[in-house]
Amino acid sequence: MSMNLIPGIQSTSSALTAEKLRLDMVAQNIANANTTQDLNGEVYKRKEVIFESSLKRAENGNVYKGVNVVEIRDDNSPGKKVYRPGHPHADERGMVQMPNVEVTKEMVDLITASRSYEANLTVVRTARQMAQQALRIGR
Amino acid sequence: MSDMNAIPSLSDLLSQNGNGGIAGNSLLRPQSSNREQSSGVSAANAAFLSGTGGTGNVSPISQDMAKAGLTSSNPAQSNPSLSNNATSNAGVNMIAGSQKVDAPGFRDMFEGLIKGVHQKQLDAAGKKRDILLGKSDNIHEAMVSAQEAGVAFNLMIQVRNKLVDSYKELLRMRV
Repeated sequence: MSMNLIPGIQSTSSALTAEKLRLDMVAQNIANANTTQDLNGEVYKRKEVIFESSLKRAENGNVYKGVNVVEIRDDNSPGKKVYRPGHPHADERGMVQMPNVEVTKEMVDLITASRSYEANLTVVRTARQMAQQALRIGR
Repeated sequence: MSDMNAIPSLSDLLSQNGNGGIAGNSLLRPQSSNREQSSGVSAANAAFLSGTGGTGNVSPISQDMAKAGLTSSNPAQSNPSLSNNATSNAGVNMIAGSQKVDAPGFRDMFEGLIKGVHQKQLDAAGKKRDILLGKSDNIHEAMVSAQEAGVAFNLMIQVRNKLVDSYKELLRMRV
């Protein structure tokens, strides 16, 4: 038996999970903003998450749209090259390939993810209040 | 977190002992002893009636019984199987006239509700435990399911209150 007492909670829950993943990716990008080489010897590439709305069918037959993270994609745009002759990852001309992460852009993404998370939390709170108020009809 | 802890466990409510439970046996479950008693009385009545019908003179009572479909068209024929049949039929009909309890009723529905609420609380507790043990980091999922469990519990409380109110209303009825 399944009860869905709080309206819209399924979509909101998946959206919260998705936004949390986006925040994780932003954190990873900022953390690797100066990483010139990973385990495979390549320069770090900025990661971005791709969202997709997914149609889900609840047990009681209601259809709701949640958010799915379809893939975490590498951003292949070229990064800066800086001249650092003594650097261990420098090529023969002394140039070091830097990651294509721009911290200012990541900060914007961070704020967007945070605000989206907040908005979804507000939906949860309001939906919960609506259910509680409906239950208070009888009193 | 305090929200989650404030909700009592439902396992003791599910045991339905009637003392301190949500709604005791006396309210939701019809008294089985009463029912057997009444059916026993009616069976004795019917046996008595079929016995008089079997003597040969067609009494008004046995005619009524024939109309009601309790005996066969020939009341003079009194073999044991017929009288048995008549008693069992009479018993069932007497019960059906006074109290109808065989169909799945409110009790099953309410029990389903309680079990649903209990399941929600178990889910919420499981998610909370997973976070505390480090198996999961989806705080929002745990909180959302805890809120859901809270709302479901409140719904159950409201239904219980309504039920007790209507029971009190019945008690206050002038006979």
